[in-house]
Amino acid sequence: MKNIKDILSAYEVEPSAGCWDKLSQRLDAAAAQASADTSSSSAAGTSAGKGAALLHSVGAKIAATITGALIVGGVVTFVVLRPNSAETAQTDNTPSTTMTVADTSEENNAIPSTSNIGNTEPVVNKEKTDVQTNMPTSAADAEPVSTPDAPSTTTPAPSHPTPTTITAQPVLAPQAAKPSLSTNTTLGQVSLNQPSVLSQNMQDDPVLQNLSEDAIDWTPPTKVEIPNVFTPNGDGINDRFVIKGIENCEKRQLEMRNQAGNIVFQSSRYENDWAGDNCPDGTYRYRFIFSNRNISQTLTGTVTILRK
Amino acid sequence: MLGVCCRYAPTKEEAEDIMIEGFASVFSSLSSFRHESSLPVWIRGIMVKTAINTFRAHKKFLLHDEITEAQNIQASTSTGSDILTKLEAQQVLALVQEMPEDWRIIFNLRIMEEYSFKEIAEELGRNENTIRVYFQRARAWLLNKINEQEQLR
Repeated sequence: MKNIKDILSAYEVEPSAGCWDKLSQRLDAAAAQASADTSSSSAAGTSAGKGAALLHSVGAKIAATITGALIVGGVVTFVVLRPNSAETAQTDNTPSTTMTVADTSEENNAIPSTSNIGNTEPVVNKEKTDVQTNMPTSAADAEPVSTPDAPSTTTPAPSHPTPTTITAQPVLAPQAAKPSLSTNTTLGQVSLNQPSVLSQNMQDDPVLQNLSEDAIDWTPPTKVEIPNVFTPNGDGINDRFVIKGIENCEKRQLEMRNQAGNIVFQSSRYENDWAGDNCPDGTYRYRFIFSNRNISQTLTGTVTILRK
Repeated sequence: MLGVCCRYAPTKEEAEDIMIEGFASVFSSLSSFRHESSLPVWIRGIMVKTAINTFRAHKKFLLHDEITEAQNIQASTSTGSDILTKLEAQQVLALVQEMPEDWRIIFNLRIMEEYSFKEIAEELGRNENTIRVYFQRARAWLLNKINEQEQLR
């Protein structure tokens, strides 16, 4: 005899086929609404794209978390939601940071994103997520996230070194521009239907054609680590918002916003000196635009101030 | 999550609607998630709230009479661990879905989500004693049905 609460808690059921379409439509509607709302807000940096991107970029994260064994009351097979096609979203399964890596430099249209995949994503299969990509990342798979020291082993062709590595946390969902949304696939079988960008573009890319061996910069890519919390309480430990690896960045712009979207701190050349003055405890959003060897990247996420 | 929503809705289709609505809320308020609880727990809370909102939207409340005296407090301390049954989840769920809507929501909130009667009263906008009595009636009805079903086997 089991008690009724346990019985009902263990109940599992699968949604019907049309459910996912409806959900997808509903989320699109919600995203459109979010864009409409945020575009009318006065905060300069909170763009409509960011609202929609946040919505979509964490969709995969949510989905991934849901398929984990933590759910009580139902197990749902889910699909990876279509992220906004204009952005590549990298997600991780700990709720500390959501990273949006936006590639802003023209010449590196394809290469850095693929090398990002190679360097930062060993495809940790925590929950049997079997991501198949056409990328030649077999060498990268074997490496832990934070140390791609020899660039020659991570990417098969001379490539522009990746300036950033996201903080070492297991990365679960695939970083892809357009995984296809299919109602009958489970999370474990998302396949990225795009051919390897590297091989396709290698022949055409004028930059690559002109590179000679000795012009390639083989120094290891810059790693930038951003904490998700800091404690400015005078104890000398984590009293400042410190971005590790910032010394390697030539450009380092930082913007901090509070939950309302107002800018509470801004620096065009951040020196790891922000202590959250006049900012009460809570969660703040950062936007860190940095560049290294002419490759510019933007990272956004949240950091919490805790003074206790 | 669909399992959670199924407890609140009379049919699977409505449960799916609640779930979809719930996920929409999840995504739009994701930025305000304070990480005080784990993510699935938070999502589940949102599902419950969505279910309550849906219920409020089309209340066909049978609670016409506000019960102001605290009748029979004894049964109101139940949190579900004392209702034992051999039935399977599917059968129990079917019974729960058979219940009148307001009984069902009170029953769910009390037993599964472990809201206090005071909290349930606040959420539904009714008198706390009313809630207690309806819970007691729901529980008795359910026990009755469970016994019936068990004897059929």
